[in-house]
Amino acid sequence: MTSGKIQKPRPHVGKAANPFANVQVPKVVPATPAIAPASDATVALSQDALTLLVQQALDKPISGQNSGSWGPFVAGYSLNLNVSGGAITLVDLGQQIRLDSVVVSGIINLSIGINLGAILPNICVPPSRACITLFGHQICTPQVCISWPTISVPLPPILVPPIGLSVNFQVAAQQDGSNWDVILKVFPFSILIDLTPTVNTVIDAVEAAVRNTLGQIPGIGSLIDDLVDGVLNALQAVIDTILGAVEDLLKQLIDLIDLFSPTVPFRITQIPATQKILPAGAPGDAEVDLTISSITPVIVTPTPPPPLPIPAPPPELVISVNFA
Amino acid sequence: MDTINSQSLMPQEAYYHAFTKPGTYNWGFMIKQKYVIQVQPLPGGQPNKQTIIQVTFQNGSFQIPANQTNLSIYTGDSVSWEIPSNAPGTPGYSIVGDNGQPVGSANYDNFSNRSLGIYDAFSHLFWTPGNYQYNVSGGAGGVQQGSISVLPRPSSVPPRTSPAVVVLNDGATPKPPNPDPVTFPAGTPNGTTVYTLDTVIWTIADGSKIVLQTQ
Repeated sequence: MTSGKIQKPRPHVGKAANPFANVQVPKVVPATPAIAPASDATVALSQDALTLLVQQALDKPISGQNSGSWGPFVAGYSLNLNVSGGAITLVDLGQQIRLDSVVVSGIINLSIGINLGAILPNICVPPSRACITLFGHQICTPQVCISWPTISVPLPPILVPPIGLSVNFQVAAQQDGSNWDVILKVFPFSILIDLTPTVNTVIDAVEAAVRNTLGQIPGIGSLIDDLVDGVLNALQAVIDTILGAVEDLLKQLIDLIDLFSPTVPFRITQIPATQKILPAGAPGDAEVDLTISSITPVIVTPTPPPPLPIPAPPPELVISVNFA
Repeated sequence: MDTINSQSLMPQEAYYHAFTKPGTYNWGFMIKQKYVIQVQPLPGGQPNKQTIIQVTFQNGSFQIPANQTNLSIYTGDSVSWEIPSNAPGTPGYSIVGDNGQPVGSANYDNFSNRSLGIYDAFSHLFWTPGNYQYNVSGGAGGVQQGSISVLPRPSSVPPRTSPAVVVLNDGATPKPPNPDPVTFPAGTPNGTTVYTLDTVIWTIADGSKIVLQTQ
């Protein structure tokens, strides 16, 4: 069973290091270059402006914590992630927006508690009671059994190396009540985060803690190696599951970034469906409004006017508005 | 080094009292309390036996099994109070009780590990090697002294099947602890040396108000 909580993003406090990519991204399907449809009005958004908008949405830390128990082991873990960077490329082929160079990095704090009594055998000293007859009374001396403690093993912080994310979005428009929203829908992507390199660190820390604990219990010196092995064997059986839970939380936190939510589209801009054209004048002279009947966002690469030999400007997001 | 103090029982120690007089004894921890031991005359032909009361320390107090709060035994039987675990945080404790008869009367009988009497016994399981010096005080012979050398147990020496016994005779004709230093009897399997995880038991052959303490 697990329980925990995730905190919403807070103001940014740090920057990530250089990324390395380990993210799967969907293929972009090539399509015919688009042209802005005929419309009553258009709004253009540049690639740089969109990059700035996305960076503002990304550039903030995020944290979460959780815990779980696996037989004699309990684990508590907290994650602090920094998200930064991000550059938008508008792709008119396929009408997609590609986001590159997002860097996620952070620190995992993990502690493991072990109920040694649930793992180690019952050991009593002496193995059986020693009896003797004194003044006609047979008495037996005590047999003292070892109470195995529950220990907590704090682990050194585990660094989440900088992870480079690249994702693709579809741009779309949808009416939301009295407004029209231009939104980005993220294409499903999976993040491959592998914490198995930390297994040896965890096992070494647990071994040291168990050995230190058992070393303080008198009378079991010759048994300590076997007892430690027993604990490590039990840990080996669940360590992948414990780290998998940490990886799951990591994925949950990244999904919590607004831009990457697979269920909640990221809104670029919002346009009121009713546009005031002329204000109300004298009595009987009512306000003149126009109602937007449709909005079509299209990525367009502007064509330079011939015959000037200048390179084509970068694509723009052109929002075409039609009134009823 | 272990600490030996017959007045303050610790998990590796036990206090034994042999009940020689019939009657109803009330006993408790530190002071006489509600616990009862009924002592009846021993039926003919029946051997004496030992009853072990296992003491635990839970939620800040000493406790015993519910079926031992009112115990019934026979004259000549002995009772051993002991803590079965070396759980950390268990404080020292003492056992005190009597049969409720007027103090000084012929029928009066009491027991207390704070003041060992005749046929009482006290045992200590040694966890730590070392050279131990201890005092026997309270008896007629003033302060007697004894010693034990406890060596680390070699893996080749198996656990003992009997304790080392020291007889204290501090009554009308005081004698030093016997044997001193403490050893196992000659001819004992695995030698006479006291090793860690061996138990030593001190028994009072004569005397009263005896206290054992390491120096």
